[in-house]
Amino acid sequence: MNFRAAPGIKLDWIDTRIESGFSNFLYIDRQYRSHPVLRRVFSLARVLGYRSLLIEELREDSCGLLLEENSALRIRRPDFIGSTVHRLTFWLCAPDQASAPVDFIGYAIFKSDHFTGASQQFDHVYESVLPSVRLEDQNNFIHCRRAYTVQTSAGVQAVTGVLYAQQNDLTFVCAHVALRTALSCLLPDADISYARINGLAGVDHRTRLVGGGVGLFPADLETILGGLGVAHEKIVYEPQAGLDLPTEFQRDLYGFIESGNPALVGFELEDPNPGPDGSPRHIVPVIGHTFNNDAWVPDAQRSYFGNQLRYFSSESWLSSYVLHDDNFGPYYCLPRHFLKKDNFRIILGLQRHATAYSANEAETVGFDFFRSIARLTPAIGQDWYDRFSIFCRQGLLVLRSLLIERADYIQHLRELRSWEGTSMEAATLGQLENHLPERFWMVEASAQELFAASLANCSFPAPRLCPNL
Amino acid sequence: MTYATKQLTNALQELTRRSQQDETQSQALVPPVIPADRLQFSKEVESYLERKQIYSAKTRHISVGSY
Repeated sequence: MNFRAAPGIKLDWIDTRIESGFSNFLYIDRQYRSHPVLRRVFSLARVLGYRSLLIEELREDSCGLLLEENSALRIRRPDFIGSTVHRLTFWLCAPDQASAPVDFIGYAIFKSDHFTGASQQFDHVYESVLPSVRLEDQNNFIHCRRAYTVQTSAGVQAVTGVLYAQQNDLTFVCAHVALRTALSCLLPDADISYARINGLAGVDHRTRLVGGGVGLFPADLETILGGLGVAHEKIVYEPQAGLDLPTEFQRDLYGFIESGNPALVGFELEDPNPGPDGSPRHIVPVIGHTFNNDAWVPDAQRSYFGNQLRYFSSESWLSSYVLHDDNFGPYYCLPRHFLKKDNFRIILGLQRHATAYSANEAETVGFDFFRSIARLTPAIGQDWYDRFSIFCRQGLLVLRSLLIERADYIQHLRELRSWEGTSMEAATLGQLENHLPERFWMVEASAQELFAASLANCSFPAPRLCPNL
Repeated sequence: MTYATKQLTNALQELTRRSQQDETQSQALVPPVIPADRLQFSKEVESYLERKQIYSAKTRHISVGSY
């Protein structure tokens, strides 16, 4: 039984409204030893409007996952004597009020591991699921959110978000928690245990340890993904090994997440005195991105700074990637291009389904097809086609690659209406239904003004002209 | 106005002029069919895909550093 489903012992349910005199800082300083990630979690809960906090204690005898975690710790650290676990749930209602489902915001599991002797106790946010503060209406696109149910002493509640987790640096490290977040976005159970991850990587806490500076190797991450049947693509930059990048890695990252999948991004830290194996490394899960409709960059890059691309990639409108960082907390924004190539080392883009081409490759091939179409048929006397052709020949198309399901695409086409209100011919829909594979890359062509005005539906209004790869 | 913007504006204005000249005909046309074998990859794209393939093969067994 996991931490969400385990029965908890209610310790308190407190009023957290500012007008009641409650302070997140004071409470965390006094109750949770000024834990920084918990401050971030409480801060997000505050932005989401929380008015009360239910605190429950979870124990090994009623939580199988806690027993499993502590058993691993007992092997890893013989001086481990036990842990204290609090399930903190955030509510929109006042304490002890009969709660409607809409009153529930989300939760965090705070785990303190205790050791004998001179060792300090170690605190960490074992997991937390909160909704994202900003969504599509504020240009935040977090496609891989999942629904979770939480069994509290006030009843069963639900939250939709992306699971965050923090390492304990003993039985799981940054690679484990990043992988857990990413896999939670894809696996049927929307979660995975560290015991399962370690089992697949061969970490038994006896002959092979993690923690204290020892982590998982990229090969381990791939073995784990392979063991779970999760397809992935890899982008690696290892200058010491003579491996350079063929393309700009941020475009690959965007390609992975734009189709609704998570990606792991690993980088090397700045270290003035690196060891023989180089500087320490860290890895984080990237779960979404933000867009800026009014970005100046696409035009400026082309006109002023010598970008030679013959189309605009929709990635040019991206402002930030959204990620969890186990050191700092959930839902942070990483500005595009903040992470420099010098520090970047690896992207593992997880996929729901393996594809022959990456998003960038599909986009390149798609553009080639668009160019051929416009060259072979420059104009037909139909306004939208002719505009498409002009934009294409002048190198001004905006392209976006999306991996989509045939059924979804056919449904989208079925619902489309032309300017005159007519729908697509049944014969054409039938042909597409018969010839399209189950899933495929759709390369959407647009003009800047169409794209910026309607990010969710931005193709030229002539879908029959779009090559589907 | 940049050179590219001027080019686009001129092309769109030319399209508008033609469209207004023969409005009834222009909206009734059906796009022609282009045979699939005429839409082959250009050499440029073939070379890009080849480079990506070589890179992927190089990365397949590389595992540097720990996280």
